[in-house]
Amino acid sequence: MEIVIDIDAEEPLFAQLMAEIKRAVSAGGINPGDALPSIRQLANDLNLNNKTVAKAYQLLERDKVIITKGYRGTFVHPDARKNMDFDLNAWVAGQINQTINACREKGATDSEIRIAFANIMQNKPTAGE
Amino acid sequence: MPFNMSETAVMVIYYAAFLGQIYLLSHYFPGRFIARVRYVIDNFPVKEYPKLYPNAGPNFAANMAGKLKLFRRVNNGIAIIGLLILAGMLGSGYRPDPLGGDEIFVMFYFFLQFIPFFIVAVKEHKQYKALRAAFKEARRTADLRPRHLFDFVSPVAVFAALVCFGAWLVYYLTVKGWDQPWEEEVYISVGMTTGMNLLYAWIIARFIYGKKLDPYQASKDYMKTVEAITKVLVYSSIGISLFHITTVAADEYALEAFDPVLTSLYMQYCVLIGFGVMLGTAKVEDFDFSVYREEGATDPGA
Repeated sequence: MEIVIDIDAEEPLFAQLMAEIKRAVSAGGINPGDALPSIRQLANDLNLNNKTVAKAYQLLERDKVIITKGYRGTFVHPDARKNMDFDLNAWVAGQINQTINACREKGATDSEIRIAFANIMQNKPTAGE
Repeated sequence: MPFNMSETAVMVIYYAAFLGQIYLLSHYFPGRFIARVRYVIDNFPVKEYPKLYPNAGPNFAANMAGKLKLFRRVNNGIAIIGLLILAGMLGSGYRPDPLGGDEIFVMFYFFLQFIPFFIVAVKEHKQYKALRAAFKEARRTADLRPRHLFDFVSPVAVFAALVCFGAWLVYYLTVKGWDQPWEEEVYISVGMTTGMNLLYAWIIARFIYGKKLDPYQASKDYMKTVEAITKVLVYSSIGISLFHITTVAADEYALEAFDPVLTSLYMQYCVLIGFGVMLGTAKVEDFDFSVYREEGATDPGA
């Protein structure tokens, strides 16, 4: 199964790579349990940095689309097709949206929400602590 | 003479081997090479496939025809030199030294025969470099299948290469004696042969997992190229070990008179394997040349 990436596209390369691997899995080009190329092989074939491919693999592993089995290599996760239905980015956006709406209902301004959000992300103490 | 053979019989074998070397290296394979290049130039011209010729000048086709003619003439000249050497040997009643050493002449002539191919290899390297420099494609493709050594060569061949290397090592060291200090030559011989095999392994790994030499090349064509190179190197490794075993055996059993023949046959084996497998596995007729077409150009065959 061949994958294609466009280095001039606006979408980041690691995201294109993730999308292409997911597309290959859902189209049946590669099946659960199939071995994937090593980071080095894929990076060389696509003329990309190893870190770009490693990042895509890391995120796909987090999403349980692929699984790394030590020195044996990287494989398509047995539940890859089911796990691909779950869009983590959409879930995160939904959760934050709910929280922001709740804050607004309590009367918090966007600026206050932004500051609180930034402080939490940077592990800084907030007003309530 | 070894095996109670007459001197004439030994000389007939010697001349036959030397003639074979002249024919293969200075006539047959140069012809195959020229036919391969002509096929590409005639069927995939610069105008329609500009990406294939990054350094092509205005008279590229004429220049290439001239270079191919020169390549043919140089090889013909080397073949004539070989035939003259043979004629001189026949005329002077030459007999190979029964204690060996005459293989050096066979090797010198082989190196002379190899010069035109070496120049071609340098040109090929420059061509790949120019292709990589000119590569500006935004769209890049890759196969999602992992590549392994045994996708390109049978496990039996790899096993045979390992066994032959081990057999040579054990035999050579047994002949040199396990219970006495080895001379410098033993360390050099073992080091060079081991180093050669390690170099082959490194080249194979470089081709299987490394970057493509030609960035435009289609994945399936690259796989064929890797298969050809892997097979050539594994079979060459077997050849080196067998050649060393036979030369050690020749020294051991007073068969040194056959050293020039063995050397010539070994050189021919290397060339047969090198060119034969490359031309047979990576057939230029099967390659996808559409990758070198200018964007938006129409397929003349469509």
